[in-house]
Amino acid sequence: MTEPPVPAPAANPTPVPEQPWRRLDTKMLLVHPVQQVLRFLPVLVGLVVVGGSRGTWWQVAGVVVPVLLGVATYFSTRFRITPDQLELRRGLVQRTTLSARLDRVRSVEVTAPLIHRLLGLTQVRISTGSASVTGDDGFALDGLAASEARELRALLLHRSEAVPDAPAAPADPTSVPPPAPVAEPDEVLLRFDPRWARFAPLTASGAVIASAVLAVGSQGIDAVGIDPVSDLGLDERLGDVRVLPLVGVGLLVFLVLTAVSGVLGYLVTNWGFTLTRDRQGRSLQVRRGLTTTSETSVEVARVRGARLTEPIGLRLTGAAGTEALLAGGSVLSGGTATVAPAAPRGVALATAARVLGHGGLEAPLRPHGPAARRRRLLRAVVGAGVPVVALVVAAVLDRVPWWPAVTAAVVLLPLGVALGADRYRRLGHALVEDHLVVRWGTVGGRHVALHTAGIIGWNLQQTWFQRRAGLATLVATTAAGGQSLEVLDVPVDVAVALADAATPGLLTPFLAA
Amino acid sequence: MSTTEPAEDPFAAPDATTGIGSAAGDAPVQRLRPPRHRVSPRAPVMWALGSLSGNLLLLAGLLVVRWFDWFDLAWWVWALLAVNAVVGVVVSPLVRYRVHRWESTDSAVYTQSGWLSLERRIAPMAKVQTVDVEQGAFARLLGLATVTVTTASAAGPVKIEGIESATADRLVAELTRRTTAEAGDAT
Repeated sequence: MTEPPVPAPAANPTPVPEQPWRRLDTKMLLVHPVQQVLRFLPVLVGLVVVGGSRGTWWQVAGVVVPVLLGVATYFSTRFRITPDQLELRRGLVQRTTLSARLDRVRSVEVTAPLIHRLLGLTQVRISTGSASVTGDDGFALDGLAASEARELRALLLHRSEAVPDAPAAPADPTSVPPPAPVAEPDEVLLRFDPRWARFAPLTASGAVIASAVLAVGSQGIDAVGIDPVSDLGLDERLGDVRVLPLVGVGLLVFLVLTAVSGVLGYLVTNWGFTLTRDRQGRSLQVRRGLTTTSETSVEVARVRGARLTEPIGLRLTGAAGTEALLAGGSVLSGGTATVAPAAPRGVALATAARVLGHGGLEAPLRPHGPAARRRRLLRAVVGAGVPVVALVVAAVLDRVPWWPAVTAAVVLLPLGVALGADRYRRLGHALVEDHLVVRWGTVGGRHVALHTAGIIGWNLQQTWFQRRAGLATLVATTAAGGQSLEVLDVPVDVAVALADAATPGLLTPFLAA
Repeated sequence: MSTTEPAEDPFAAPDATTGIGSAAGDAPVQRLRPPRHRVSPRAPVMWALGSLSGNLLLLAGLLVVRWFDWFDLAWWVWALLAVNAVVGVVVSPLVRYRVHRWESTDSAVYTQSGWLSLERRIAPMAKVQTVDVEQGAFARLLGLATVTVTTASAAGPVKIEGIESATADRLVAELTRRTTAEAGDAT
């Protein structure tokens, strides 16, 4: 990593005086207890229900203990910034001190849940890009004033923050003086358009929310003691064709629920989504959120590429999501940062182009050839054929009537062919502007451009079937994104030529004369 | 283009008709040659012993079930076990000995492994983060070791199984010397 040295504090040649420990914002005295009470809510409910008649002492304790714990959290948490380290001390019984080297800070996320926002507070989460997955929340400072959080972020990411109309920060002798503000505002790369929410019903998140709602709903119905299946006499009519309209209505309700919750979820998460880059081009910022706002800042030096996410629903409606691939991100965050929510394809491509600095994702791709097409088709048809064959066998054995087998054959087999054909059409790769560009997948389609500097090894894989077809899967390993990028079913010599071109010199000693 | 000893290079296409690949035009077709060194001739013994011990454990489990008559064991359970043992103890180690190869140069580590599926891995020296040597019980018995080279990618470890311990030690010393010379955080 080539980074400018840490500013102000490090420039001091004389021995730096011991940095004082700082507390979180005083207003956290209000927030921590509320958070603790919320966390204890199930216990509280239990106490109220169980201890109903047995005196109120338990119930009082149930409120007072969390409140005290919350207050204690405030008093037991301290942090300080030394010239080269950020240190956090916390814990009431078991004291822990976390420290992170300032030059290892990879990204800073400033979020503000509703309570915090009302009080002008923020949570600051600092990622140092360690590959450990054990850290619960990494390095988090829950409860700094918004202005203080901005200062901290500016300091950590070595960038000057242009604060448009910030109130004059109270003179605080303990805080590090903010860097001189730069007049130039950040360059806006993308601004949210609420109309994009029309794509939300086609993403998976809507279905997830709807399923959760239905699950909770059915639990509720169970608890109330209604059994709709027997109440409506459905158990007697199961297997009856007359149930079909009811199933249809159920499906329709689910679809509507999915669509509505998808749109709402999309708007709540992405409201006001803005992607900006500072004028020095050193970091990218993503701001978003309706109730909980979050601002994520990422060093540009860590960006190794961009990825379009094109699940089939989005692709059919001409939309895509956009992510930046980041090196050295934590394994938990998946090494990516969303730089655009589901949006029209043109917007996604434009955003990716701005992050990449070129339109590599728009470049024409090289198809993988007839052998790859045969393989895609065969696999899809075999996949569709298995249930058909099973139903046919069952019908031959007289276990089920023939119509399910016929229906399955008529529906699934053409679907399999279509899927295989589309999966082949999607397959392609290219080497553009020092980026390895790969596209694949129908249901969960992806289109990725990975900078060749981010490639830290190659795996060339061949299954027995691929070997017979003269194909191989070329895997570029990387520390960014999903840790690897697969070029599926590519002819062996094309794979070798591609790897050789992407990382010149690396394969040379191993090439056959 | 002629087929160059398919026995030597499992990655070579069955014949020259590899589809669109050869139609690249001006650039001559490039092929990866297999890595230079075979693993130790005792490596198949190590793999066979590993498989044998696993199969004996399974057999013991099945015999216990039969002894106490917990439930009926069909004939095909024994057949499956027999097939699994033959494949694991005889077939797979022999095939793997033919396939497994490795090589380390100034610039990269290169391996070839697998038996049903084949895999070649290349990790550039500049990106190597850690080098581990491990010795299982059977490996120690046979004087063998396994060297694992990892990079910053979770998908990148390069494993050389079943080489002589002395070779492994030399390799690790060499890798350590080469990789410490490299700067940067290798991402």
